[in-house]
Amino acid sequence: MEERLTKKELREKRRLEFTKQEEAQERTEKVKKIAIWAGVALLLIGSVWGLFKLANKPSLTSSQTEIVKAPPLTQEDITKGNKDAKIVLIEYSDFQCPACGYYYPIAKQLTEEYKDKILFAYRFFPLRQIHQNAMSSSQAAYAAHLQGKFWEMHDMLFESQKDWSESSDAKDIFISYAKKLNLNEEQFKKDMESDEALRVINNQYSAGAQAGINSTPTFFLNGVKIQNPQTYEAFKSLIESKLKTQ
Amino acid sequence: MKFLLIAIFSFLGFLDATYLTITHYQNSIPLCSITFGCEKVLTSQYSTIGTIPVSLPGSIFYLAVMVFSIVTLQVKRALFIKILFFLAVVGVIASIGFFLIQALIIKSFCQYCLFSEVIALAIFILSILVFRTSKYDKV
Repeated sequence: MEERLTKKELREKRRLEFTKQEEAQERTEKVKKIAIWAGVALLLIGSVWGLFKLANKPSLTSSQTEIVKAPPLTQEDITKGNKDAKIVLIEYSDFQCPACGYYYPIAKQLTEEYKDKILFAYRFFPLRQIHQNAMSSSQAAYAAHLQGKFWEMHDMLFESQKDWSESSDAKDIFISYAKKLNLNEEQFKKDMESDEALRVINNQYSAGAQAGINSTPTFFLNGVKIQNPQTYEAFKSLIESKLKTQ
Repeated sequence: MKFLLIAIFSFLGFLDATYLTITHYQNSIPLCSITFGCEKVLTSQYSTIGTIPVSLPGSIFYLAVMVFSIVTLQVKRALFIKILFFLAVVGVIASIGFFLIQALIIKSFCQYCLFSEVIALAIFILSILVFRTSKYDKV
């Protein structure tokens, strides 16, 4: 009788132990699940935060650590601003490049605000491998330059970039811009197709490529390549700090 | 194992798409190489639907795939596998569309977009494998 009871007790005990084990197992499973989801949530939050930082600050690239110098200014350079300024900002740009279009209002605002303090130069860097109208738009701007209206054409090209970028008859569009700017149409057409225009554009392009430019727009502040500031304010503070050290 | 792979791939896709979404809303241009013309793709009219950049639904898509793959890792329920498969099909169709737009209309590629398309394809292939085996496993 006693023995049987103990057996029963034993069985009961074993069953209790078994359910306890099961419960414990369930508990650890639950904890594991919560831990996994917490880990996933942390990973996601952390990575989004990291991406924000990455998007805000362009990461240090080799071009920022090594100094890339721009070819010096020549008579051929198309400039605006104060010719005697101590600060020279050179932009290598392609009229068809969307990023250049993005920087256009920033650069324009800067050149207006600092027109007495800086000299701004535009250099042709048409990426003809990827932009079908990069070359012809540069030629149009050069032809306008010969009639003293480079910057007017420059602004027009960037402001209406979307209208002519993919057009197969972009040249006609450029001629219509020349008319709007009251340029001599025949002269404009002739200058656009001239060898002189090709020579100047190609010279600036190859000198820039030799200096190590590999993207547009590329800005040089007093001859030294800068990492493109992402906003107007950032660009402004860069120029302000340069003005202070001059 | 396959679910874990899907989770890892979708996490990578999420990082990629979210980076593009963030740069879109900050009005900045992601670091891209000009050889691919990625700026051309990212600023094209096909990069947004109205005011929403297409990378935003991309982020949500990868996040959903990631959540469902982890859920399925824990509870292998046929419904979850079906949802996962459905998501993967939607993802791969969208990706093929984006790839064709880049190849035929914009004629430029952006490396972030290509990366996302490869990931969506990988998730699709994995989910086919999972879907097929899950049919036989049903006991």
